[in-house]
Amino acid sequence: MAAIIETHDIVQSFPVSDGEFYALKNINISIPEKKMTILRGRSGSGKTTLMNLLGALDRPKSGSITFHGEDITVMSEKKREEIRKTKIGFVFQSVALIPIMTAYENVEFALRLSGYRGNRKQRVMECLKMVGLLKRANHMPEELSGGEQQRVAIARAIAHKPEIIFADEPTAELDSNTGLQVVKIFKELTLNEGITIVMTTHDTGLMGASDCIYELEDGEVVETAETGEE
Amino acid sequence: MIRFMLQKLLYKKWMVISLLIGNILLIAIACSNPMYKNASLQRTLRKSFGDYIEKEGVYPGVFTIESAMTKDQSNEADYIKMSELSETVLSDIGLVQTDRVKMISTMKSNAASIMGREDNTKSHTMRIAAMTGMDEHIKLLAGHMYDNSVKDGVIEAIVSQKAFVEANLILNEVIQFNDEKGPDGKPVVVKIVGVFTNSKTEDSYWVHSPSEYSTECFVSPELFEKQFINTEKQLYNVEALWYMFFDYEKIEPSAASRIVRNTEKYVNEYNTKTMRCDEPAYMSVLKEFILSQNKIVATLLILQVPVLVLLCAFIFMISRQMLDLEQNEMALLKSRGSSKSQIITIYFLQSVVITFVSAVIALPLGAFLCKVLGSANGFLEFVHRGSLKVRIDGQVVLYGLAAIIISIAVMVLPVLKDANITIVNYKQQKNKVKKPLWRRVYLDVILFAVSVYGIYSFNDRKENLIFRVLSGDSIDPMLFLCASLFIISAGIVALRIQPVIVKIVYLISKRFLKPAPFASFLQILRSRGKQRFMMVFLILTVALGIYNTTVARTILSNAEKNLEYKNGADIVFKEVWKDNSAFLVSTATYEADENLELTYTEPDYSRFGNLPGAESVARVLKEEVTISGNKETEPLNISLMGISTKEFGETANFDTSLLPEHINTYLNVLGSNMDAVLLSMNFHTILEYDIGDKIEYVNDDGDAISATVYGFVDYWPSYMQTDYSITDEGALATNEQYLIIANLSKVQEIWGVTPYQIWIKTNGSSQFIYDYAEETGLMFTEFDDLSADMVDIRNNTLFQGTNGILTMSFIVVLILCCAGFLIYWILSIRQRELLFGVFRAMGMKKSEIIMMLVNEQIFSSGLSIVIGAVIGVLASKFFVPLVQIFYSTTEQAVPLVVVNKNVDMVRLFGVIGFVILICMIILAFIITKIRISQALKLGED
Repeated sequence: MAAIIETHDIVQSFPVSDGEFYALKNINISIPEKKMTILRGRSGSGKTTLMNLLGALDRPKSGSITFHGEDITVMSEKKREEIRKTKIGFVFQSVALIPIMTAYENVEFALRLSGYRGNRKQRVMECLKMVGLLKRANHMPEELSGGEQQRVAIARAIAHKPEIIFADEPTAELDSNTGLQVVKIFKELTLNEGITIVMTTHDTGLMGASDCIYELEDGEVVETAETGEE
Repeated sequence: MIRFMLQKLLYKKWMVISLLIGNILLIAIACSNPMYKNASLQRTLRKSFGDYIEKEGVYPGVFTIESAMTKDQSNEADYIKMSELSETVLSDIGLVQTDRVKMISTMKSNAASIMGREDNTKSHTMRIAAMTGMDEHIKLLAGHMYDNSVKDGVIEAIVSQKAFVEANLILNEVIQFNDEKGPDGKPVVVKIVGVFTNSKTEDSYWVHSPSEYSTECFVSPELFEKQFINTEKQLYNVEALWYMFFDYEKIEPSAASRIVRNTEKYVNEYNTKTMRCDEPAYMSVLKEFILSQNKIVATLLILQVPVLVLLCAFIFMISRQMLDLEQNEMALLKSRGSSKSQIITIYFLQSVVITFVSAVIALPLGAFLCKVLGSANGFLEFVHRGSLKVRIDGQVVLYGLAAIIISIAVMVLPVLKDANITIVNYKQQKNKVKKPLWRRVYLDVILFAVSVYGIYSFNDRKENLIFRVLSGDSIDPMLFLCASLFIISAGIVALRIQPVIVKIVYLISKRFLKPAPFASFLQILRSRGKQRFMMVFLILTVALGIYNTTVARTILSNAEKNLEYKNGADIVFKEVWKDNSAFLVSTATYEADENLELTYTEPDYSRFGNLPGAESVARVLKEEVTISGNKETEPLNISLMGISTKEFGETANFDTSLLPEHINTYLNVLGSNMDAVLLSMNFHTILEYDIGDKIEYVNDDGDAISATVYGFVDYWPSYMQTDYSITDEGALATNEQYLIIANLSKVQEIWGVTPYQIWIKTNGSSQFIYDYAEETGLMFTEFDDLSADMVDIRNNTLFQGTNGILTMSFIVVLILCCAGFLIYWILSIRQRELLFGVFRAMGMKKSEIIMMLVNEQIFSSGLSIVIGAVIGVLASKFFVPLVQIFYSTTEQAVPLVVVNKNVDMVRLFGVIGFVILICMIILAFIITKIRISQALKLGED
């Protein structure tokens, strides 16, 4: 199985009042391409920190991360921005939509940002259709329910056809039914669009849909399970 | 959680700082009003007294009462009463007595020497007098001081030098007053033992200088009392004067009207021959001062009100914003059982602490502001000047307390409404944004309409306005209120327009917009007017800045231009000419020679032209004349101005825009014919003269000159068309002034050479004329130095206070604007940190985010500046022509013109630009500190 991202001994720490807090200690994982990977763990286990590093939002203290074999930890910020803009999509736990834009505009904005060359309107509608929100295109985020918001966020994340989507606790604020629905959309994306999904969650009920699970505890990977190959 | 708390505190840190700033400024300005008022009025009053002494040569710090006692008239009681009054009257009036002098004398009567000197046989009119404290204020020129006792029936006396000469006395002369007989029936005999003069040249003791005592024989006061006063049964006719001295510099401006009232009471009560209080010299000074004081006090207050209102609005808005941030906590407190009153108490205590902390800083700041006001020379222009004596008194504390109470009310008021909210209401209300009441009822539009109506109504009543100002009224508060209302309401109305402009730009460019401007447009359009608060202050800053600078520049320029016009030239004077009057007087007694005329020796005027510093010099003859064949019944005020056209054109200061043609054109016309005259326009409009008419003007001696009218002028250097005076009924009377401009050589040919004015154009400094006068002992009968008068204008309390307050208001608004700007952007950026994180996560570059903010700035701050500038220009256009009327005087001759100077605008926008730049730097600093990963994490809390 080809890995789109691989990490090598990455360490991340933050200064705290009594010294240094190690959020990640020697993480070595690989993210399989066009599959759905779940980073599991309790709050504070370091999964969001890890995800920020994988998504080129932050740089580790030490270690390297390769994206298609290229080390993104030593890349220039400009290059990383370019990667984020064209190859990566993000879905966040909450308030991830731009509150001043309608659902439609939120998705369109991602297209604008990535410099999408095609017919923007068509693509936006396509994406909204994919998440089943065509009817709510002109609603402001505050007028949408939590699940709907998250679906718009997903539509936005996939709009510019990224290779990989990072979703940080996308279901945390949703009830289990809606959560499942969101995961289902992710699964469909890996299958139909060939997009790699990396998702953090602490909800064990969602594990079934994933191809690969890394469990984190106190900044270390304590369990690895590859479900999809079986 | 801790970070969240810290950040929340950080939000509040800015809020608290802003509240402090608002309060400090509010209290400081409130306190500075009485401080500045008292200090500057004190200065004005002192200056008026100084001017009075200079002009009248009379010491104003004295109050005089008189009494007389006559033989066999039984009016001793009056004398006793006045004598007693002299001890208490000053403190009754409210003045602090520094000295009291009693001058007592017998009536003038014949006195003759009994020495049998051949050269002194004539008797002289003289009297016996005594003045208390005399020995300390004289020096003896000859002889010795009088003795306190009678020696062999002879009283020793000293006389002034003048009396010594006029009565043809010699030292130790013995004179006898034949009409003054003692109880024994013998006439009083006095021996002149000394001659005195004043010991110091400037001595307020001498209300009348010693040379005015040309008939008095001064004896010892104790002796006088013993010999000539008998309050049981008076034997001599005597009159007594009490001079009560006080330090006029110690008169408090606030006491002025009380002093005038009390003095008037005495003056009216005692007006008989045996008991009188004369109207003292200080009365006219004080009365005039009270008039100008009212104007100054009203002006200062009216000018300050808008900024005080703005400060209250600022404090209100900040507390409102702070409350918005704290609603969550407040709701929480409520749900945990805190009562409404407990919450209000918390906020009340908080505001008390804030105001009192502010007050501590505000008092010295207020004193400092006063000094700044005192050194204002123009708008945003300061010079070093003798600083004002600032005092903190009861009034200052009172103003400060009033400000504190108002501020506390403003801060606690919003809490009253919010204190009812529980967590449930809060959550419900959170997403419901209701437009504020004033927006729903279009209060801003209504106020704007009212102010526009005000402009029309004031313009309609302009004539009336001018009239009232000329009769001494102070600024109409309504006009100033109207101007402030216009600026503020227009600023708020503009806020309704701003989104429309942004929307139009957005819709036009929507399709092609880069992500950054796209996001920023949506931000502006959909942030529900959160930036309004900041924009209002920015608009007001710019608008007030432009308006204030125009007002300040205009009133100063009007006053300066008028002065320049009125003076005619840089230096105008008339030197003392030698004439043959002394000769005429001496010959008049012997024979009346009809052929003898008053003739003058003309000094060489061209010598002034050769002085270094003088560019040109002109002779200007001014003469009151009449015209023959005048049909009017009332005598006309006609002046003749005789000039030599070439030198006049080179020397006179004249704003060429006042006449349709350049003044030189008129001078050339006048110079083309010796018999030509130019007339003031009223000759044409009122007396119906026309070009080509003959006119004959006549001087005092009845010598007529006939001339031909060559032209009419509306304005002419130093010519005042209307002379205003206040009638006894307090109405304003206007007197038309007529002017005839003729060729000097023609006038001199017929009337001979008579003293004329010298006009000099300087190369900037007038010092040379003072040097020359000192060197040569040149004497002037008239002297006007334009540059000195110009300085006087800038030192004028009204102008200075106006400039000072306009500058201060602007600086205050600038500070508020700065605080509002930073608060808005810091809050807005902090609230949007997560959003920025999302943008960044979506691949937006840091530079793009900055671009986004810059775009936002352009369409909020930038647009505000433009709107502010438009409003400022409009307000100047509409109101300055009205406001300037209040600063004009009855001596305003040239038309009032609204003036804008580029240098003012450069300075204004320089200051605004600099402040905004600083704010931007602070913002940029905050933005660069945002880390995406941290920003994103914010969402987890």
